[in-house]
Amino acid sequence: MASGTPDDASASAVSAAEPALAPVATPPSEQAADADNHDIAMSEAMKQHLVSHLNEAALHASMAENTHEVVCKPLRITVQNLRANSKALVIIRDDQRAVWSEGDATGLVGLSFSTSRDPALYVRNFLINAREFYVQTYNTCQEILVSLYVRTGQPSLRGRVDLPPGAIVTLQSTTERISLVGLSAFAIDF
Amino acid sequence: MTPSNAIPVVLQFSNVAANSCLNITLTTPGVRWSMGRRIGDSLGFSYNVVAQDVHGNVPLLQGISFNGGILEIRTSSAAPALSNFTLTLFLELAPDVSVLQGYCTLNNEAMVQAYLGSEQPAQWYDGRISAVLPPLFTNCRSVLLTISGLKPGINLVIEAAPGAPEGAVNWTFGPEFVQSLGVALTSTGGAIPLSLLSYTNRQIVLQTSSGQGGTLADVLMMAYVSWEPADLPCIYLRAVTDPAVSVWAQVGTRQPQWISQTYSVFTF
Repeated sequence: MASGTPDDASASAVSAAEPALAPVATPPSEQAADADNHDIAMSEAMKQHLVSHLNEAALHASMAENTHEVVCKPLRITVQNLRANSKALVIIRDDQRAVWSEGDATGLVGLSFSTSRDPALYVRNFLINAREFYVQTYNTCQEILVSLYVRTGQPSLRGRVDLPPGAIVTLQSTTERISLVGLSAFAIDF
Repeated sequence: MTPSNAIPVVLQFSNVAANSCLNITLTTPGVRWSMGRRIGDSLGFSYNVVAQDVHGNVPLLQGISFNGGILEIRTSSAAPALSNFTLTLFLELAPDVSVLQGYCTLNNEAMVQAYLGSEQPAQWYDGRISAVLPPLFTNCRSVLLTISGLKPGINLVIEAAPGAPEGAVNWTFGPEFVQSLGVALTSTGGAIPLSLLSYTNRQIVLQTSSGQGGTLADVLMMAYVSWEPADLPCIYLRAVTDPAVSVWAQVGTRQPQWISQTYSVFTF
């Protein structure tokens, strides 16, 4: 099913609102802004609920207009000492022009989950989408290694982690390292 | 690559051996695995994010990675001899790609059910694999309903409503192409414990047969919704039934959510 619906939706929203003025090459940033203002019939509560959905079009548009070249920057996330039946969450902040990515390069490893200290990954499930990443455990995990990329034109990345007591998340870029506990915000340079 | 030429993929692995290295390698140019570009409650790249823990909690993975056309899975030596699990991810396609080819390296018993878009699943075994890619449809989403806690003599009504006053939502049979998956009904316990299924534009009605007995097997139903206008942002779903029955819904590639007796919101 079409993953491009938000973009399509914002484009059709523009043409529905002002058919005479809708040029084919409306800048993406204007499309996103119009999509935000378009549907007056929607209640405030609904807009609030759907804010992540609307941001998606704005995010991809703003990434495209970034003055810096958008590239994939490697990042290693290490989750240590994550206790049983808990959840570790790493989220990119809403105002960032950045998404998690599997990278552009060819080769064997783009995005990977692994462990070197436990006999297996004791994860009930895990999920990673463009902004969020979580793992849920059913047994104590000494170590979960996640290698991925951040697709961005920014020189740094801001975000948030949400961890149970005792767990530590370490983020390591090519030049910088940061370790976090509990519910914390972070900023890391590439 | 733009997000519009990414199709969602669900891979259901069964009978995967312990302590082995598996891979699914796509050799068609212009096809690559992806985690999708969507935010919010998108499924993205996920492992065992299903409505219930149908696969149980067993040590299974040692590592998993993908890049380009290669998806690689290492299973643990601590895993059971044969195990099952579910992955979701996306395939990013160059504009002119309509088929994919490649190969799987799996143990002999293993089988992968590959659900590409809203197409009937392809079965992939060890060796060469291929699939014809489904066309993209924008005004239709699959709704995977997982119904548990059923008892004899229960009536269950699942209703959909549009997420805006001027919109409209209908239950449908899904996109119309030759290999479309369509509406499907399965059960975790073998026999489907239903005496009635009614599927109309407005509502889905399920009834279990009356009689004695405890909890019946869980029922999984694949349904579809279509909507207008095209820019409708979301739908509401509700399940009117006995409080003991729980219904989970997964709309398109969004994460599964419990449906309550009052309307729950599902974005597209």
